[in-house]
Amino acid sequence: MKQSTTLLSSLALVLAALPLTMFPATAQAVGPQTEALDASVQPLAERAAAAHRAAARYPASSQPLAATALDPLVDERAVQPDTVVAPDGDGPTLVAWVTDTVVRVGTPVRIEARLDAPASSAPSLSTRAGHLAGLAADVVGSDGKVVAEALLLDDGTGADTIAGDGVYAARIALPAAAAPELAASYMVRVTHQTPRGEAQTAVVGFVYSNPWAELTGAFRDTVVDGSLVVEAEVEVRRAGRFHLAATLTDEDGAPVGLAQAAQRLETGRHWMPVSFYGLIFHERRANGPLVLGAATLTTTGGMPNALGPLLFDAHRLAARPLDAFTAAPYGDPTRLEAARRLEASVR
Amino acid sequence: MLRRMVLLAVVCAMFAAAAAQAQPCLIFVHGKQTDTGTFTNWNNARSYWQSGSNDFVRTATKNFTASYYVIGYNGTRPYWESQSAGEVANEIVNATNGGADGGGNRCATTWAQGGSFWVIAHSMGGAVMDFILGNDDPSDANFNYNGPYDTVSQRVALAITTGGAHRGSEGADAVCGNGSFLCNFIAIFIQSCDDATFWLRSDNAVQVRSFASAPGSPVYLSGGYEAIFGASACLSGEDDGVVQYASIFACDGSATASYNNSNVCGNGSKQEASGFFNLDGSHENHDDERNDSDSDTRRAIPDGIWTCSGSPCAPNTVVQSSMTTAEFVSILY
Repeated sequence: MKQSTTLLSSLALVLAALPLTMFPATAQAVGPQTEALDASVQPLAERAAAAHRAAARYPASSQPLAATALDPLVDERAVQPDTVVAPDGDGPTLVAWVTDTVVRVGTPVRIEARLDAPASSAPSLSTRAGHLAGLAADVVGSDGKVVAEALLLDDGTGADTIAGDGVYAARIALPAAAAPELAASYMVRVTHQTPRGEAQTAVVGFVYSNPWAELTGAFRDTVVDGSLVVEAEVEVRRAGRFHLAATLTDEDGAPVGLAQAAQRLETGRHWMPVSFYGLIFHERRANGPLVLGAATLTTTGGMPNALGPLLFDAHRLAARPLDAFTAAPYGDPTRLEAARRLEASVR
Repeated sequence: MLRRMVLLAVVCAMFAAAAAQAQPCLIFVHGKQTDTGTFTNWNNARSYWQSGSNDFVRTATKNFTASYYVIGYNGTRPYWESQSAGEVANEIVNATNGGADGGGNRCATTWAQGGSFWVIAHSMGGAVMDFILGNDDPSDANFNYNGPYDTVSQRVALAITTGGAHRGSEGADAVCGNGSFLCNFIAIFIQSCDDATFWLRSDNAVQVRSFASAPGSPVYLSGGYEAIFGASACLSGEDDGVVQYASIFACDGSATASYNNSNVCGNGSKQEASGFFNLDGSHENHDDERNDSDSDTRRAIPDGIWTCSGSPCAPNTVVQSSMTTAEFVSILY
């Protein structure tokens, strides 16, 4: 007999006991009637061995990026609104977001929200929503304590730029006590009280970050042992361990590669290198000018890390002939050993 | 007569041992918990994979012919903490060294003897493994943060996640927001926006991908599309009642994008630059995915593992009419 209560089994049991009429229709897999019940699977060890061998072509610190891929550094910082439908199903949908996923300690966090009319509703609904006095917001730590509160307004004052445009806004300055030594993760709740008095709450968040070092914006590049090394100048205010990540794109902005490095640095100015493995340029035939599409410096040593700002298009690199770069696979021995063992297991 | 019986028993034992050694050792990592029971009592961690007479571990190991090890960690803590990621990492290394889990189960062959180790992770276990495998290199932000992540990555040949919360859960958003009436059904059973839940929300500020890099060993993705009435109304696209497809399949872009079996992100559009690969979708809910209780339809997804007449099956093709995820794992080796 289980001695602990798991979320999922309890959820399933109670939901199963409830009448189905209580619930709206939910998403079902709708698709063609295609069946292939004689379908088969390749031994996973074969696939995994191939994956290890492919990965072994590059050092773990330097990855190729597909030209069609999202820039991973930019994607990780993307503002992601939370959308919450009305509890009664026919009211407006609450959409809330913070304008930055990383907020520097001492800088106010900007919160915005709007109420969208459901597709089936008359246009007047959004107008009605626009007449709200405001939307309540609070900032909550991982311990559940509220550290700040505010009212989001749409009156053209304070943080709100245009009165009556349907976008409510507030800028909240966190108290000094909320400032972490390194970083903290905060949740923002934006609540709309429905006409029936029910709370409709959207949840977003941000990292409140106090990095100990910063990129100065100066970069330089060279080729070392067939790989492209980009160095970033770093101003360190407090000694610690730092992580530098950067992406290269071509002139059209298509991603080429991602590189990262981490090291301990003492107080002062330093050049911190990341290395893009040469094979990446051969495989992409990237012999034209390149751009450091995004770069960011993180202070590590605790969770959450103190994420630094993203610098965009921070450095342009001159075109280099492909023969300046190594075309040899890196041959990561750990990955190759993993592949060898997997292949042996399916022989 | 007695001598013949002893000889037969010895031969049978040798065959069994040889079979176990040829197969990977399966290491099981459970999901989020509402209490610390799986951390303090190994039997709770073992029970996580069972429902009545159904047993994911038994089925996935082909009636225990493959060796296995069941990990218990503190599923109430954030995925990155010492009692979660740190505990899991240390236990995996113990397993690969031939150590026993809390029930006395050991991998048949150690790493030093040439063994192969597969991790099977459910729900939050996916985020835990992403953090470990994505911080296995000295160039990573949180290298060996609270355990021997590099050794884990070296020794784990691959991980399979089922209903993995790689990009968090919109259910966690609903709980932490004291959301709508329907979503509150989830809140009752998560109990509160506790630390683990706080870190399983779907915004980028808490996502494991913001604090990890590409995994050092490949992560294979499977998950359910059997919605849970009510709860699924709060989740985008297909979901298993707790985790949405964008998260189960570790997609890049928005963690709340709507996906189904036909259009879920392929292997080139994952949360990291490399290392995540699709397997398939199953008509199971989040509970079924870990307890072998629902033998149901399985469907192909983009870049998935199923082949039809020698070619990749078209997405959304029904590839099995009755197969649990545990059975699915058992046919992968």
